[in-house]
Amino acid sequence: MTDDQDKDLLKRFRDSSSRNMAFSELVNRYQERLYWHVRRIVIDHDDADDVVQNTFIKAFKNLDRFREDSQLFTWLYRIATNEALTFLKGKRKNIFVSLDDVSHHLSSQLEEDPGLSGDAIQLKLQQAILTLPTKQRLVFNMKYFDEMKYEEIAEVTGTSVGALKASYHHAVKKIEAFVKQPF
Amino acid sequence: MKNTENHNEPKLNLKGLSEASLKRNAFKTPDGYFENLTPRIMESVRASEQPSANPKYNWRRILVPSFGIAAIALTTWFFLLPAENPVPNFDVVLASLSVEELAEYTDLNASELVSYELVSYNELTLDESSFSNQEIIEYLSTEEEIELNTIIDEIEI
Repeated sequence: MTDDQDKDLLKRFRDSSSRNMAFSELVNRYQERLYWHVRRIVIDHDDADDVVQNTFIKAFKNLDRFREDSQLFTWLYRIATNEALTFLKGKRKNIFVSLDDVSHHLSSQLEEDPGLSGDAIQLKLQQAILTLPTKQRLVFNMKYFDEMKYEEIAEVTGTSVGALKASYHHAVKKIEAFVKQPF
Repeated sequence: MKNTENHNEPKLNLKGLSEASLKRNAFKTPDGYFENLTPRIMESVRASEQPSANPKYNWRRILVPSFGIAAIALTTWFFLLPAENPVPNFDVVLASLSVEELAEYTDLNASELVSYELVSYNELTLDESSFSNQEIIEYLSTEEEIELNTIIDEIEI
């Protein structure tokens, strides 16, 4: 399932003499994609930075056990998604609301975020995405922004392709309805 | 990794805005963030591999289970300690009884108690007059190597 470059990385990672070099290449290859995936979930840059670091630390510790049943990047996405959701659960404890209600907190954080470009429609779109239930939001982000196939998203989320299609459909309709509301 | 799946899926349609403008990244990162990210992550990975340089003993983690184990051991010892032996030692009981009590309990006379070695001859403080000459002769005749003179002396013939 893994492509040739990933297979080569994994082979070198399993050799103790080239282990660190191989992992450094792996980080370099996937860091940006994982960062944006995590950033869309946790919104704040510093939080995303922490989550991405933890993701790669976990990947390093568990890569020996990666059986190559799935693609390496979907395996990394799964770890990153779990880390990001765990982070949000921790945040929920601090603000005493449900995980989905964290989106309201993130939405207000979004408006204050100096790291967000000033484009009004972009802000509105991100706010609309944050109104989605957590799983719908994950599916929408991976499908729309990361342009992943449903089969790949299924590997990350452990959800059937049919359910993912339905989830994406609902997400698009909700976002359109939200954006149509007056600014 | 462009999407090659069927085109029946819904397209996000927002006020005629192009997909490209909608997908433009809304977030910013500090300058040079990704250039420095790999070395920072590798540093974190190496740090996570290092065992803690100064592993502090968590005394609480040691003491609490120790107290627990000690309490269990103490309780077990207390409850399982053998109670005073309910079956008294035969020799001790025997020693605590007087010859009269023993004779009454066993329904044996003094000579039988001696012959069964339940009492020694020296312990007999009974009035010798309570024994008939015949009893004395019978007792002494059971003892080996007792000379006739001894028997005569005992019965003061």
